[in-house]
Amino acid sequence: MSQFQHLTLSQGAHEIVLLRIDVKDSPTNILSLAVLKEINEAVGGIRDQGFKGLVISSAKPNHFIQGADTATLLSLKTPQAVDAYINLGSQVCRRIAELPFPTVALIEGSCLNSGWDIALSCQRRVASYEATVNYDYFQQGYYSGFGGITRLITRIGLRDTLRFLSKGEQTAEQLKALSLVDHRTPSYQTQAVIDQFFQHLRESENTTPYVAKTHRSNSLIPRHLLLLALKKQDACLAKSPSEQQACASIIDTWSEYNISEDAYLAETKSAIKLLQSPLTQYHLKLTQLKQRLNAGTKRLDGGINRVHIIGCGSMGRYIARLCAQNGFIVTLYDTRNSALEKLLPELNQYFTQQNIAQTERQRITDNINLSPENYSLPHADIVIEATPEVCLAKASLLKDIESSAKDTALLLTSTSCFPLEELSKNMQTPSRLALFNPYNPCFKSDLVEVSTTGGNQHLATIQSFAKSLSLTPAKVKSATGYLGTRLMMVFLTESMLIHQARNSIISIDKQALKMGMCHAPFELIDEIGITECLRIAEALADRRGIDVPNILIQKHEQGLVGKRSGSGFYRYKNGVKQDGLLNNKLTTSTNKIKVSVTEQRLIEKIINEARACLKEGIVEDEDILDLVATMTTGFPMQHGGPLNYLKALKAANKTLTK
Amino acid sequence: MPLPPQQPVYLVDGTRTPFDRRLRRDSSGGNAYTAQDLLHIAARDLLSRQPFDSTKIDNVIMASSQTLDCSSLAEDAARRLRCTNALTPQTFSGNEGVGIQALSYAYQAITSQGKSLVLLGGVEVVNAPLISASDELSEWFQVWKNASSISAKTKVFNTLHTSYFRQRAMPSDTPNERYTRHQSQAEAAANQSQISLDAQAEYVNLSQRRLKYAQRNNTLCNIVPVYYLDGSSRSSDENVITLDPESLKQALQTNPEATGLVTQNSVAQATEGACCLLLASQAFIDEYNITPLAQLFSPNTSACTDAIEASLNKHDLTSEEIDYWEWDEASAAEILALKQKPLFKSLSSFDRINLDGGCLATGNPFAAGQLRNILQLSHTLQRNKGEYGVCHFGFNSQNISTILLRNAIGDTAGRDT
Repeated sequence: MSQFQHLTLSQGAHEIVLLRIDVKDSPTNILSLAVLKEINEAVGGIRDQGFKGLVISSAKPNHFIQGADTATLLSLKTPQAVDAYINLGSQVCRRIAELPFPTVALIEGSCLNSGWDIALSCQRRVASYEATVNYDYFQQGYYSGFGGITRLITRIGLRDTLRFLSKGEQTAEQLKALSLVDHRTPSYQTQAVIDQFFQHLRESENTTPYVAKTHRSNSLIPRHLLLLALKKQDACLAKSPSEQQACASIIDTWSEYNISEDAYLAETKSAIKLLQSPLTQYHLKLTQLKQRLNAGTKRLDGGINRVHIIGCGSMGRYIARLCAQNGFIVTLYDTRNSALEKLLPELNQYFTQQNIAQTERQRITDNINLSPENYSLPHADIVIEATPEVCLAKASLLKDIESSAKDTALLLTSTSCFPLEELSKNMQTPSRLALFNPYNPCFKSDLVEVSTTGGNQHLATIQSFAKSLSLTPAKVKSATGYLGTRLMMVFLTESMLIHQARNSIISIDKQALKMGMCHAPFELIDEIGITECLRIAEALADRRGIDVPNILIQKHEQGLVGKRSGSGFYRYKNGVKQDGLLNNKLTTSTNKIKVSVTEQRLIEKIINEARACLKEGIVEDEDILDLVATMTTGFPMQHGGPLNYLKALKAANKTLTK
Repeated sequence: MPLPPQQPVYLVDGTRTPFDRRLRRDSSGGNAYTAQDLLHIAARDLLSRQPFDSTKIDNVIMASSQTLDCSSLAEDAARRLRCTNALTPQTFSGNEGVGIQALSYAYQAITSQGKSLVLLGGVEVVNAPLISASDELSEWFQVWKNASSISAKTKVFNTLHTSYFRQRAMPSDTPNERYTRHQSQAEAAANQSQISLDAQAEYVNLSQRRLKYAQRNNTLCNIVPVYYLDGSSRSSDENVITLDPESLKQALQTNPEATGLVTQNSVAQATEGACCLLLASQAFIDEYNITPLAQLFSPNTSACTDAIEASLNKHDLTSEEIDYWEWDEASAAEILALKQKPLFKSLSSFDRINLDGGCLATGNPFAAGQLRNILQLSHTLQRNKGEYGVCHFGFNSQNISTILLRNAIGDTAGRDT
């Protein structure tokens, strides 16, 4: 058989062809154009050779096929290149599916995106116990277009397909439950299972291709009923604008072509369109940026495994969970037992939401020690201060931490508004203190702001710690509000000022969402907490001369906390927003501001602040600034961030003023 | 005073969960804690206080009087604490004296087998069926039974919820297991030593009062709170005697059981709890520059009633030289009978015995209770600057044990001689 660069073709027992993918000079099997061409050639070559079966497997340990990576997709700069790539992938999958003999995909380890398309184009799938499948293209607003979606719909129906795509990573057990893999075996038995399968076929003299049963929802009447139901529910199935985009495209294709041959073609065409959409391009750039930020950073080692967190607020609990998940032994200390009591219910809720297995739950919970006493501080390798935003209290606490902690311990603060110099003024060695401020849990993001005055070595250690927690570190300069908080507060403050000019809260929130912002400002304030917002606003006001909106002070004086207590600007029941405002007299107005005015004021403020941050050197990289601004302010994703938007406006010779 | 030369064994530190009749209680959305969970909670906190990590542990020895589901306590603890794979964890189970048996084994592991750091734990849970018929399930079954048609039965069937089958801890008002086991023993002691009901009531009151005092003044050391999935927690021992002193006295006097001398309130009640101790050799103490709580001397187990005397003689000590005592409060009658012995004539009152209350007030999870006594005595010695203390376990003539402790800090200037 002919020699290829990225795969090997060999003949096994019983006239079975073994196609092992082993992409050259890469730790994983990335489906670049060259790899697709080779697979296409290989599959075309074996079609009429009289073989009795094909097994597609990977030579990489713990990986099957990873699909196209971000760099590959971003390198498709012209519509023609996108067209050529997706059509080739579609052709490869079609060729595999149309082979005149049984085909099996052997999935060991992780299988991503278009790798799953190739697995689906095989007639049978055998997965090891450790196998996982993740179709994260969907979360980024597109799909590969290789025909995998139509094949999924054929097997499990549209509703389960959408659920499957939006669920994220799925284990072999879950795939077996959905009948998407035929056999689930331990790794050492996969080969035996395949041999047995072909032997069985040989003995029964059945060499005809297996045709999977079509899901009943694809027939005429259920299809129309399902379509009606899904049109109402598609917003629920899709969690973000990106998912909504992909979801709408899938439903449209299905409603028009169902699972006919034309559906494969339509899927390819839709994928080409989606891949070039601004939203998808933004996600791809974002992924690439994260890869860049993570490049060269290694995970922590050297026996550093004891983390002591002081403060069991939402940030403390989030960091504790993250540390425990990543194998650190965590002690979470707080003098308030009521705060400590919140961890286990929250953790349990997270486990249920994420569908985490019982053994994993026990492993994570075992790693967290809740303590109303501070015994663990002197023995911790990493100490994280995560107390409420009160400058003097933080500074005093950090002084005590320094005197009790080990000399070699890493001292981190999760402040989001006070500069390191101010917090470390009482410390003997101020340069020991570093910033470690994850954007989660407020914003569902894996980005963490890091900053230090202790030099490059110190910064590298903190970045390694972030990497160990599967977070992406973004280096920022120590300053009031750093980057994320500063941009966010500009957005929130301006929204409150618009409201104080007698405009309705509901209409401001609606308009913000209408103009493409990801967050409604007043809902975001409730989410963060009114007290926290006020503390941050006051800190920024003192140091940067910004006004604290009266409405925030009034709400705080009324004793309102936000979403957690069930009442803030809006009312909440069991964490779900209720219709209407909490206090109509205080917060509503008859005036209705024009969308364009709101848009202009909010966008202008964010852009100006972003420019100021760049000018002051808070962050060196414009891409990071755009990314953070999009995340914390909810700046419309399709604009690619405030600076990118400004550039686009300048290029088009336009201004913000309408 | 010279002590017999031997490889010293030190009590480095210890922690325990609160003792409570429903410590493992149900939490919404999850099952009750298991014995392994309780042990892990105590052990995890204990290790977080140390300058070394779990990989330094040479052996894990666990004890529980129960045999059901407790056979792999030590293996499970070692795995969950991430100890090294080279360990050969040992689990003791099956009788009430397992705590002291495990302690003897741990002691031997350091003195004879050359181990340098041993994690010793004891845990008790009240046996409960894995699936019990909850009130909701019983109610549901009645409704289902009353449903006449198939459609009605189907409707009722749809209301069946998995939470009805949750594992449940024993409710607090079920018969007292410990009482039924020890009633005859306490009766015998009371008859033999002519212990009156008044005296028993007075002692139960004393134990209860001391526990409350200790709780108010935070002298019950190293209690690790247990947190639950429903957002609640338990951080102090349950006061199992709910009656006030006067009512208690009246209850003891007016509600005697068949033999008329011992009642449920004058026998320690069974509770749930876990306790973990770290024992170390001299070399380990020196390596990490640790200040231990106490030095332990060889546990003395004897079949005869003069185990304390034998232990004191072995170490060339007299009862007057022992500063504090921690006696296992299996029942008030037995404590009072022991106090009448000639050996304790010099002790005019209970002012050196069980200073922080005992099992009568807190309830007694056997293995955990025994280790708790050692931990509490070491703290009492430190707090009151005493030098020697003796823990005494078991009143059954077949199985009496004592262990001598010496304050390891060395500052015993305030020692009351």
